[in-house]
Amino acid sequence: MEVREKFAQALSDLKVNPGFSTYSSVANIALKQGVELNLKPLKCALLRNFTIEPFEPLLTGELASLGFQASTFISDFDSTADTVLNPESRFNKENFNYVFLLNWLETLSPILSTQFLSSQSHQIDGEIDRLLKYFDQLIGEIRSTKQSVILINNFPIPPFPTLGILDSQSENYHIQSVLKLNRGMIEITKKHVGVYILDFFAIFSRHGYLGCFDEKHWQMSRSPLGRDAMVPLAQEIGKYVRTLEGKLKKCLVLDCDNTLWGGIVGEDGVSGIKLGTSYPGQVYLDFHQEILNLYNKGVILALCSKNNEQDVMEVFDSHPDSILKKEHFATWRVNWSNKAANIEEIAQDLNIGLDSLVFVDDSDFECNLVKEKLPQVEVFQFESEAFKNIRKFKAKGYFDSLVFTNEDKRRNQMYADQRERTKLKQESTSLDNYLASLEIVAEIAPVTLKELPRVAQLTQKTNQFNLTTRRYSESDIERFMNSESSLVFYMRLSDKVADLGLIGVGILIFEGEDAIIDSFLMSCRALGRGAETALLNQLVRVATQKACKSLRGEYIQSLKNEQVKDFFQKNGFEHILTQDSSVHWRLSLEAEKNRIELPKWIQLKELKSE
Amino acid sequence: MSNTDKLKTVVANIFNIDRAIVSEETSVDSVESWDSLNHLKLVLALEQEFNVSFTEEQSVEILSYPLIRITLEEHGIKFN
Repeated sequence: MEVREKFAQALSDLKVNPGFSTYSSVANIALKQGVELNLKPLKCALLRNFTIEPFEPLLTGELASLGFQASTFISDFDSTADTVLNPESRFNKENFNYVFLLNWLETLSPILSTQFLSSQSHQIDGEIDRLLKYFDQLIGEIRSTKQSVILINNFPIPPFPTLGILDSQSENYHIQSVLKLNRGMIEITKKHVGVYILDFFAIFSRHGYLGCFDEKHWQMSRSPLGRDAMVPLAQEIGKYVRTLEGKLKKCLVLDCDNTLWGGIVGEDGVSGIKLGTSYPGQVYLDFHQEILNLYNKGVILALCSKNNEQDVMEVFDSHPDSILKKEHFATWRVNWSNKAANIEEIAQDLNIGLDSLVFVDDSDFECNLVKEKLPQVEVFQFESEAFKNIRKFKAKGYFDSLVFTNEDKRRNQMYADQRERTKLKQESTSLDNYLASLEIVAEIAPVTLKELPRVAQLTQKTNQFNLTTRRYSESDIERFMNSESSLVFYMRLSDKVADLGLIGVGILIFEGEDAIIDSFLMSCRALGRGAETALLNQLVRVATQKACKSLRGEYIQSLKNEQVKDFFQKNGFEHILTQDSSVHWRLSLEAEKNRIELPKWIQLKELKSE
Repeated sequence: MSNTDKLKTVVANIFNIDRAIVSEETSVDSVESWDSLNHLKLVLALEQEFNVSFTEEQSVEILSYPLIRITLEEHGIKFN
């Protein structure tokens, strides 16, 4: 069998039955043939105080399913501090994309686990402080030399607290003390950039401590993770990697009949479909609520249904129990055409890539068609026992993200605003008049800690108007901010209709007499207003102020950034050389005519001086 | 998938060997990658795939394909 076919088969087996065997199979292929499969290398360090080796194939397999070839370094048993502090350790001699700090409480702290009852309360508090300080120093030490993303686990609550039922009666007893430690860890991770909690507490609570903890293998080989914990833990790590590596899902494309309600609206009529506050309609209403929650988190909603449009819209307009309304959907294709073609149109409408779509449908035929024709689209098939669907859907965490920015909260309002602008545009006589009527204001300034999360998020998410598609974590951006030889600019945009928020990023690196545009990107919803020219105008201004003689730009071709191929040329840069998929451009700053003009319809908010 | 197929797949995946060479002869002596860590992975994988829980003794004794099969049979898993 061809490698690609073999890998696709292993991935599909993994999807059907995630477990040791299927994960190992995916991991083995990825490790052997990662290059042929175009998997991106990803280096992970696991610093641990328990036997984590059995988990390794699950981690490698999960990462392979997301397009990465993981190589793992596992520290010696229970030697995390040595590994971090010893400059000669392999850990300190190499770079890692991800560092996992994995601790099991029984080994880390007898006082908070096995010996809890024999400890005095001041000892307990002292122990929590000691552990938090230890984590803080450990993370600080790693951060001083590494830009890696750091994931550190918190702790499940003891299944049988030493005081039994009495334990629940005081805030200073066993369970509450572990929770106090967990809360303290949140503070620690917030102090540092790019550090996140791997929530063992939540995983063990969700799947049950007794199935998640393997007493036998703990006793025999210090391997505590049981069968119920392994797969969920791998999937949880997958969610972090997906969001941190810019593989976010943005839009939920929904079928209608037997997905958003039970029955077929074309046959059963608006009053005949199952949707309401009693079974079985309640099941669908609960799904409406889940979708609405996603909408409020900033997920874009779209419909793709074989129906008469007016039947479907009548449900949203007039069904008394439909909490989803027409205005929640950014776009829709309700017709009798092929769903694959419809989904492609939806992606075009929204100006987003097919790989950022999740499609939900109950039909085998439609799901298989979309999988076949558009393999980039994530397909979630509803099964006939509707109540099972919501939990399975939630477990996927398709839209999980590590930041919740103001832009996320307002994204869907922004799509509504966009429809308003389209109306204004139709009313204006010329494009210039239209743009002038929008009263656009741009704020362009060096990034501060306040903008940091959103700026990193934009570098992760932006695909189309992105000249170099370099993905940066918050700690990467912070490094640019703190360096003498680089500057990171953000651009916020607002107009008469609404505030578009932070939508552009430009990173300049100074090298001798040159300023180099390391990154230049714009969120797709801000295009068509000439705002990119305003950002470039400001970069030129800054480079000139720094007495640079030329501004150099680079276009690195990706699968999605075709639209900016000519960006530098259009702005008067001269072509220097083309190397593989990378094209280098240069703009001399010595000639006055090369200053990029600010579009006359954009008003600039004063650039804050540093 | 028959239980024989399933068992062979698990063994092949855990030791990263070709499924076709997994046979009655497969054992700790014939498979180079059958070390203590991979053995632990094997035990965990078998327990998960066949939904059984080996005794401590069984966990350390299943060092060949026939022994694994016999032990699984003791847990009510049928092989034909």
